[in-house]
Amino acid sequence: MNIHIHSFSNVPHSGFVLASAAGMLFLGGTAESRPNAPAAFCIASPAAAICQGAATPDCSLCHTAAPQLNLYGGDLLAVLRTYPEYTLNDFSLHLGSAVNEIHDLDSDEDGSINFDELLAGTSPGLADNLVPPPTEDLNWDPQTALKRVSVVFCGQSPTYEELQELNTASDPRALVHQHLSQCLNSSFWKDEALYRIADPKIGPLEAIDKNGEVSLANDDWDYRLFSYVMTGDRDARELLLADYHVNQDGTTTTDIIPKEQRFEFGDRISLGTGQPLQADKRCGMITTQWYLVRNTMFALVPRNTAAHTYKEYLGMNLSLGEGLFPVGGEPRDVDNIDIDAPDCAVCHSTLDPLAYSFSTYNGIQVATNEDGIDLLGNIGLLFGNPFGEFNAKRTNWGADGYIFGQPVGDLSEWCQVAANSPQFAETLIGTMFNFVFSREPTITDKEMVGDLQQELSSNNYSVNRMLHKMIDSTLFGGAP
Amino acid sequence: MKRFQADHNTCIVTLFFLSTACVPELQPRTDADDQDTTPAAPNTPEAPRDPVDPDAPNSPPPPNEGDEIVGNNQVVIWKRYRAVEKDLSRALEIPTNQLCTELDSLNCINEVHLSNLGGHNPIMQGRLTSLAEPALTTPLSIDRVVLMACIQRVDQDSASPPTIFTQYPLGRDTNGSAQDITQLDAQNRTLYQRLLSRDPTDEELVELRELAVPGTSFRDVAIGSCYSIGTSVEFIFL
Repeated sequence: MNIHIHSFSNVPHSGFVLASAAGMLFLGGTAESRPNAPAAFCIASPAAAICQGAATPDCSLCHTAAPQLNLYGGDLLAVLRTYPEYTLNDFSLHLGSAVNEIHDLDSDEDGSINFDELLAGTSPGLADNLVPPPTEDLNWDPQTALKRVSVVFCGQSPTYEELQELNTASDPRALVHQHLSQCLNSSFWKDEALYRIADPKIGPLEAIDKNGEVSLANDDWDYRLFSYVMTGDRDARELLLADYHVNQDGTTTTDIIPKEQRFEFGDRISLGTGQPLQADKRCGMITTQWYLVRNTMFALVPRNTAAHTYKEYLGMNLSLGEGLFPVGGEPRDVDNIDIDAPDCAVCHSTLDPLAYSFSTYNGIQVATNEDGIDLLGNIGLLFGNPFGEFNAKRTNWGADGYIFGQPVGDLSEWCQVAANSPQFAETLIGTMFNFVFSREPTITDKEMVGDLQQELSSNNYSVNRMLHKMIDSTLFGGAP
Repeated sequence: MKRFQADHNTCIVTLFFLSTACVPELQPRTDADDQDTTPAAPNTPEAPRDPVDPDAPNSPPPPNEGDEIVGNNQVVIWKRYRAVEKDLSRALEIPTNQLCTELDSLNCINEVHLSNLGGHNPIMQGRLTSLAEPALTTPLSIDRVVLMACIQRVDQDSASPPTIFTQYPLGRDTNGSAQDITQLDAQNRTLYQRLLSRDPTDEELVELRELAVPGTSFRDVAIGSCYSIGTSVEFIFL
């Protein structure tokens, strides 16, 4: 069957899909951006907080919106320009010297010199990003901890009687942990809180969901899988590695799930639902029918799918210049959209190889001919379930993928590298930290985050165990 | 006020500060802070205090007189929509879907005020994340929800054998007698246990007595007490 990627140009209700697709295709950089600068910076300033662990500086260290420089970047440029041998193209060769020269300046005039801010993990270029205040001595308080455990993980405060019981308990800490275990098994946690945590990863859209006017997939499978993996002491890496789906009754299956809705092409359109992908090609959350329909859509190079996964599961937003691992010779412009232009290549030398592994998975596949929709060519939509299927012949570059600068033969390998990366663990911790404390971890939380990483890796990536560790912190349960 | 704010306007001011002025820097309030502070009567505006030196906009706000205890100065956890709903429902024994509605049909917590109360609905609202901090209008939503729930409970207890407000007769006015005060304290102790899961201090009981100005109906006292405790910082932040 000769499949052409085609828009739903003569299909009602689908304009928003196209608009979204066009908007998400390009994550352009600028000719002035220099993706090798982060490495050069960290060689010059290895003690900087932003260079610790798997972290690398992103563009915002020096830029507001590249190529515009912030105050710190402006000071750096001013010093660079005093070097006779300086040119824009090889500026990273001199970056270390310039960084050292402005250590004692207070570029953003917020009262802390650049060096102190780099050590502390705050921005030397943003005046509102102050060095955090010193931590006050706190003691872990069972009452505080129990109240917070109840509200955050059970969605309800402890009762008067429960707090009274805590006062007389022989081991109050154990009682708090017991309460947390109950909460982590509650319907609030499993069916509501985790669902809301999953929202930005899954990105539900009513119009194309199972009840939508154009039903393309059913994201219930995604929410159930997320909640399942994140509970019950399961290995959270299965978010990217699971080869199973979770049924409504909570059981798992590696079977292909047939369409749940019959084919419709009238006032309402129903083309998808179910899970068509065979188990050996699955990568947990990122190969469900919904995920591939929602993110790949019609793209031959699923850049949006790769970038969204990179952001939501690995914590790096390529549109902000984060997580750049340029691959030599890329982008090759395999889909002939001039993505190899210098302005684009800055980010796409990372993004395109990152996306190749997704290209053998269907998004929204609609056969077309010169007259528009090819009804005969789309017979598969009537009898099959092609959205989100594996299709080895879909492109010629499915085996050319890279992640973190490392070549991978297919998406399964891509997912193994991703799930076992420090970036995955950090993002998982950051997601839960943000849910509990309503903010990202900062340098002042470094010790706690380190403990949580240790807890994750030594307990088979159990989120429950990690949360038990989190509530033991003085940040969570501390009171003066 | 000691540990809570009974006053609507002060509650707004307090939440405004929490949402905009570096929550982690909030300091516990001590008894000494209260010595020169005159408690505000319910529904009487109290002049807002400026916690930040205007000449030092980047400095964290210093400890202020009047900043309430909100847990500790390291982190404050916001009790969001579901916990607010469940806590009020349990404390006042009103089913969650009857706690508060707007226009007689729209659920306050799950629909109308969801974002303000720290929730989101990806389908209904198209929002994929919740607010990290309370919005400027969050106090209005808290007020609305708590007040409607309190009125509902008091009305139900007035019309039939009371469930929560059992200590004083909702149908008569207060007269400032010793018996009234005893009944008032007993009722407020119950409200504290139900809404804040703890016993009130003697000082807190004394402050709540100020709602019972002789001649005020016990119905208004009941609503005011319930509303004061339910909109306290302690109820909303941990």
